[in-house]
Amino acid sequence: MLLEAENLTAGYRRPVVRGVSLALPAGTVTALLGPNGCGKSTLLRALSGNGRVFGGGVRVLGQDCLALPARRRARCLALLPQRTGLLPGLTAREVIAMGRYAYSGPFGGPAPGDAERVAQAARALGVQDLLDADCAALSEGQRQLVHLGRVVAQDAPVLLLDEPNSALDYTHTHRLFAALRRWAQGGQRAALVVLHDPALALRYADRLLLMQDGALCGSVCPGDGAAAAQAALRGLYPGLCVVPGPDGALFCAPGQGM
Amino acid sequence: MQHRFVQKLTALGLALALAVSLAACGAPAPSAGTAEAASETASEPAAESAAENTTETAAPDAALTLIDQAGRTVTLDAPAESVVSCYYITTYAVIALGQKDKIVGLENKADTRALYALAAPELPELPQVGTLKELNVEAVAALAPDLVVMPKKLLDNAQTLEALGIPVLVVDPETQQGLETMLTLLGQALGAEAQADALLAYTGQQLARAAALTQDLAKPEVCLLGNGSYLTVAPAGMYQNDLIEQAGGVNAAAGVDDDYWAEISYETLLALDPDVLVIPSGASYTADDIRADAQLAALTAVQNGAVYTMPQGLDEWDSPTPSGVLGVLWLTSVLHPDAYPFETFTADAQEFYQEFYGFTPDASLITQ
Amino acid sequence: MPTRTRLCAALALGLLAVLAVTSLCVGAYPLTPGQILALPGGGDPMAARVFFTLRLPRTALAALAGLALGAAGGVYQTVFRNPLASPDLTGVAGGASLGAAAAIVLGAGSAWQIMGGAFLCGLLSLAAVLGLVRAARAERTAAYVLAGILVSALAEAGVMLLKTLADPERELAAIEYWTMGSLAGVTAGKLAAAAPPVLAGLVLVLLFRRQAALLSLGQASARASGLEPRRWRALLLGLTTLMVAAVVSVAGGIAFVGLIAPHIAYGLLRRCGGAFLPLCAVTGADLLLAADLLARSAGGGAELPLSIFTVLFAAPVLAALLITGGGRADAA
Repeated sequence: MLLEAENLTAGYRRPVVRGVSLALPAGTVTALLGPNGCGKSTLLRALSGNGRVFGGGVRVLGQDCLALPARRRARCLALLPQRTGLLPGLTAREVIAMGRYAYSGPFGGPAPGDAERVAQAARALGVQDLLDADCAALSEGQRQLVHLGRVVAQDAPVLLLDEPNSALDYTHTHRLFAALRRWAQGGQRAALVVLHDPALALRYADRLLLMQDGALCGSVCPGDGAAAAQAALRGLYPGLCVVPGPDGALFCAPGQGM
Repeated sequence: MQHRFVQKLTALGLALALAVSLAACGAPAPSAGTAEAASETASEPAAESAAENTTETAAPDAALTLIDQAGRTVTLDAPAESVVSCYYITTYAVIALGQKDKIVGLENKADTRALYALAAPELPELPQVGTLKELNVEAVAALAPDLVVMPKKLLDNAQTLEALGIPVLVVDPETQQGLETMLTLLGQALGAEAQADALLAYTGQQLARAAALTQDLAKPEVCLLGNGSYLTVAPAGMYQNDLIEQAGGVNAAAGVDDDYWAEISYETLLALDPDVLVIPSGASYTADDIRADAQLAALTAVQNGAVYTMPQGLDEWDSPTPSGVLGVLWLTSVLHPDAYPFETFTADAQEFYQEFYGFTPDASLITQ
Repeated sequence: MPTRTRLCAALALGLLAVLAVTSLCVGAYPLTPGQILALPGGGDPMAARVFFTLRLPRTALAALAGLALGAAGGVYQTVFRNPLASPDLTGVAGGASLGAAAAIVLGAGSAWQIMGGAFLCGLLSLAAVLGLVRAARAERTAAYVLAGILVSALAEAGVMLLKTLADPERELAAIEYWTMGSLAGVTAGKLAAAAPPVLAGLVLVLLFRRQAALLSLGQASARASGLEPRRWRALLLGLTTLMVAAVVSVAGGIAFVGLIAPHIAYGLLRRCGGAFLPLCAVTGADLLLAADLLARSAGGGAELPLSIFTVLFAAPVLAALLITGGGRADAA
């Protein structure tokens, strides 16, 4: 297990997430589904050391994640929040290079090999031609890919992504998730992705975690078959229909009860 | 990446270079040496002449050491032959001591002072070195004077000028006592002790005379108003308070809680209800303005026609200037015309200016 | 280094050199360039004293103050991701003026005491502004500007109160000085007091510009990237406040340099990474040297307040910004 949370209770002034336990095995993409305001973003933030933890613990690569200093934690675990502030006037290269901060020298200067890592991350996300463009002038989708590149360049084995496709069009969305799968399968890596679309989750995730009112209320693997997936998902999406597609992957459509 | 590192090195290098240049200008190495050398060469012949001529000075050495009104020790090799004066009161004092030819620079706006036009029309032509807010130290240095005289307000600049090797006498003529100390100090620094003594003796005599004239008379309540607005009064702590008392009056605003020109409201002025209002010479308003102000119609002073204006276009009698004693005499004759008629005062004033400033003002300038 | 960066650097540094040399040659004491060049080898002792205790410190402090204010403005705008953040509008400059004035009225004698007062009140003002923005739960430009106006107005009221309490003979003149800014009273001693905190702050802030940029991503992203946001924000703001307080304590409140220098630098560079922060600093130095040259020569012998000219420089820049839609509006 690359990341394990046990009985985690976290929030801001008051707990929002209660008693969550989860584990991310190496080489997998895990999707986190749930209605708006159920605590998905809070859970992601708590796993990455933001917000306040009231109880329970998180272990990343076998170490106590909450006790790690920020720099060492950043080498284990990277987070892409829903919205990232962006100062106009920074090039995509500069933004992606920010992901290398955890490896920087004493005064925050670049480490050897950083430039090469930045170029690799950009190629992985297909933004290598945009490196010298002003990031604020890019389209919303391109900008999100750059931010994802920044998180990938951080070289952390665990990625936490909060609705990474919220600003992306159809093509970019699928390109992003395909890239994410390749990334996860490329070694001792795991990703946890917050999503709103069960169809995307069924297509790209190895496992789906379902969340409601601050607690996990179920989980399912697409490999368990359409019937099992439909049964589990109907807890969140009443009437949802899940059917196997021509290529074996599962498809779904909204049912009568929605 | 290489560039970044080079940039950082450059930044550090720049910072170091700046630090070194700072250290260089912080060290006053050249000035210290030359100043010592200069004082040595100057004091040798001075010591010889002192030995020959014992009547000239009491000190065995011609070098002059004074404690100024900021408590600083000021050393001069000899009485100053050229002086920069940074304040009109100090400039007036230098003129009154008969030393106007030694002035090589003075305060800004000298062309607006009536007294210069009358007593020393050449002064406004000289270089002007700044105001009480902002002294131009470089301009003073450019004149290379033997002595700079400045009021306490400019004290910070005194240290700067000292660092340049220019002696500075700081004075504080804000009270009668301070004025007299200033005149004594200036007399010594300029080698004009006799004139200073004469001026001080005259002042003492006239103050005693005013006190004797008014000691048994009823004392009217007086408000001395400020220059900018007639809703400013001089409270107890000011020189103007003493002026009123020395002229046989009572300061109606003595109870106003302030230590400098106090801004007051109409209501306060009506409550003070002075018997006499006095407008200073530099006022930006006139007695007619006060008489025309409906809010003040009920004032005793306005109803009795007792609104007086110090003469304009001659001097600043409301301030602690060398002629400040004339302010006391003027107010004495205004408050107690039976004891001290205005004609007598006019003659006294004309005599004063002839004696100390070398001109006789026309009687038409001396008004009330 | 891209061509544009090189061009901008050459322009700003060239202007800095020209202005600094002019500043060294212009003043009420007649010093010819020939005399100045002769100084290292001896020369006229009076000329040497004027040059080393007045002219050089004044020029050095103008450059230093400009560097500090420009860099501080650049850091504020980056860290707050807000084009209006600056020492003026975040209340730091106003608070520092109040602190300096309070120190004078309380009888502070040394430059260090005045600087300490300025630093303390500058920090308090900044904390007050940040607290208000936090309480407003809206990290928008308007919240910063309103909070800054509020805190600056309070500081101004404090200065007014101190003015009425001050001894009119000595302290009042000294306080009035802080409200408009002037370099006329600068001497080698004052420069020596202000230079260490300004230089230390400047070098560290320039070295930490990667951290400043990372903070602009927002707290969660910064922390997840390995940067402890609270600690670094406090450090960067503390350093800039220290620089601003040091400048205020010797030169008084100099308006708007910290606000417009970053906008000019951005307008030239069209970037806010790489050489942006150093360029902000050099642009600030250019502005301040030019303003000081005018302050001492435009008045015909009289020294004019610096802020007259810095505001004059700022007005067209801010107007252009307003008309062209903010240039760097707070996007994303």
